[in-house]
Amino acid sequence: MMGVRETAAAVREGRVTARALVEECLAALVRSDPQLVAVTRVLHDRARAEADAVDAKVAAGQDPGPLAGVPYGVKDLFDIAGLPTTAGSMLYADAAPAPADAEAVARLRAAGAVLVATLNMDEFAYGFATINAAYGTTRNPHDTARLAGGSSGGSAAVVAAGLLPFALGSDTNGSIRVPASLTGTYGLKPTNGDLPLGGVFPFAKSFDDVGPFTRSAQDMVLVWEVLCGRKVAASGGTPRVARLGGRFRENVEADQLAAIDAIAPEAPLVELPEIARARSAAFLITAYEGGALHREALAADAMAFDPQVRDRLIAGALLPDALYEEAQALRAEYRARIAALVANHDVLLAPATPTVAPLVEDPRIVIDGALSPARADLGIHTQPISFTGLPSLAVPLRRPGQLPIGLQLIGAPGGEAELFAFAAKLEAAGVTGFSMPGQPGDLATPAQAEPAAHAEPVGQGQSGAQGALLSRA
Amino acid sequence: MADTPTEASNAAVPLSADEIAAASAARSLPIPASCEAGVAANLALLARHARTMRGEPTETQA
Repeated sequence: MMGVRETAAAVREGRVTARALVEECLAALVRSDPQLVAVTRVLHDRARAEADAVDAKVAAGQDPGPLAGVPYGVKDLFDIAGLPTTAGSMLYADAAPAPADAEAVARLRAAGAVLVATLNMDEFAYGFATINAAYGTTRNPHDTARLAGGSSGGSAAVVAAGLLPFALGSDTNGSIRVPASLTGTYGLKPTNGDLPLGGVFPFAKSFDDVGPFTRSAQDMVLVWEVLCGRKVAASGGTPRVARLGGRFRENVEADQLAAIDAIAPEAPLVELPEIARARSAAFLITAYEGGALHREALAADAMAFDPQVRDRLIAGALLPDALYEEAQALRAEYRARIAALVANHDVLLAPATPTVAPLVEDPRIVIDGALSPARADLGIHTQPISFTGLPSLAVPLRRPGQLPIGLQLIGAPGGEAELFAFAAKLEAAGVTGFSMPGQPGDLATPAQAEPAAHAEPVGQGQSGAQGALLSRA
Repeated sequence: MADTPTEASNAAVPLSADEIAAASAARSLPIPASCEAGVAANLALLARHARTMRGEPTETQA
């Protein structure tokens, strides 16, 4: 399946019909899902109706929208008119149908995009693994013996597999950025609170956001502009880049550190203060808010919950109010401190996950030398960023033939445009980029196929020692 | 280590069987027998995070 831009252009120019695209897409989803376990519902009728509406506009000479005929899917926690919103739980499989589409879905529909499927997730978005007792464990398209990450694992998997040009997920502590890293896709956690959450099943209200997965930086811009209703306009200057130090240089793959240091070798190392305290406060706030949200349902029928999630939610529901308030006080102070710290930078570089995708049969990872559950700890590098509310774009290191892993490009509040511009330059330089599963190197030109660690620097440190952004000739 | 001037409360994560039972009753949230061990393990994890948030040593650091 083509990317977002190519698909929309083909439909808008009448080179292909939206209906033909959606039929191809529906068939591919049905054919591929037994291996991926990424789809919870294929929306045949709705997809065909939306595609026909786009084709009718094209035939009538009307503007079908910037995403004309582009098929996409949503994590199974977005309201879709006429369907129950499950949030990945059998508890809501027979819930009352949503009266209207979630605001994000409505904006995409108005732009001509075609919704084709709902996608798998950890129950109630509580996990980094997409291991779901009711809907199954989503597999990584690059190696189906491995996890796709979570909690938006289904969204990441269908984009990585090339089945859909983009998908929507939600990110509370890393639920977009973690699966993006493990599947080699782009995934955005926007500035906290910037995108509308109307019609989105909540998890932890202090940190919840929605965002897209795509296969290129350019496609991310197109989808983002529709979702936020603004045109992306980067400053055009040379970005001020810094590398995050301290804990962000521990529990990482060697390729991640090599890439960060190659991207901006002269950039200062910035250490976010008290990062362990911040992550622990985020952990407590999430547990408390998640537990409070589901307390009544847990009291009524705890055994109806996914066993992987139930005990975590109950524990969160038992946390004292005063501890939550203490964590929130730390958050308020911390955000102010971080805002001042990052004011002098446009892009902060950090790893997205501590490792490549873990095996489904042994979903554990090594943190500080000890084995730890992937479900809880794959977000070790994303959760502290959620605590700050800063936007963060996960980008895939280009390393064809190896399992994917990504970096985070972290910006100032409202600084998504600078992140997109920087991501596009990294992509053009061959440092980052999507590789199709099972076809290592297929999308790489000879110049782009160089290991990331050998790439030329593309950022400018505050020392100003590096020149302007470079693009590979 | 703690240089953020957040005032710590005296709130403690329930850890013992009696503390967990009391918190369960206070929240009107009965804990199924088959969940007790898992809930206790998760509360222990949350207690470690509470100590870390307050800048106190955890077992592994002590």
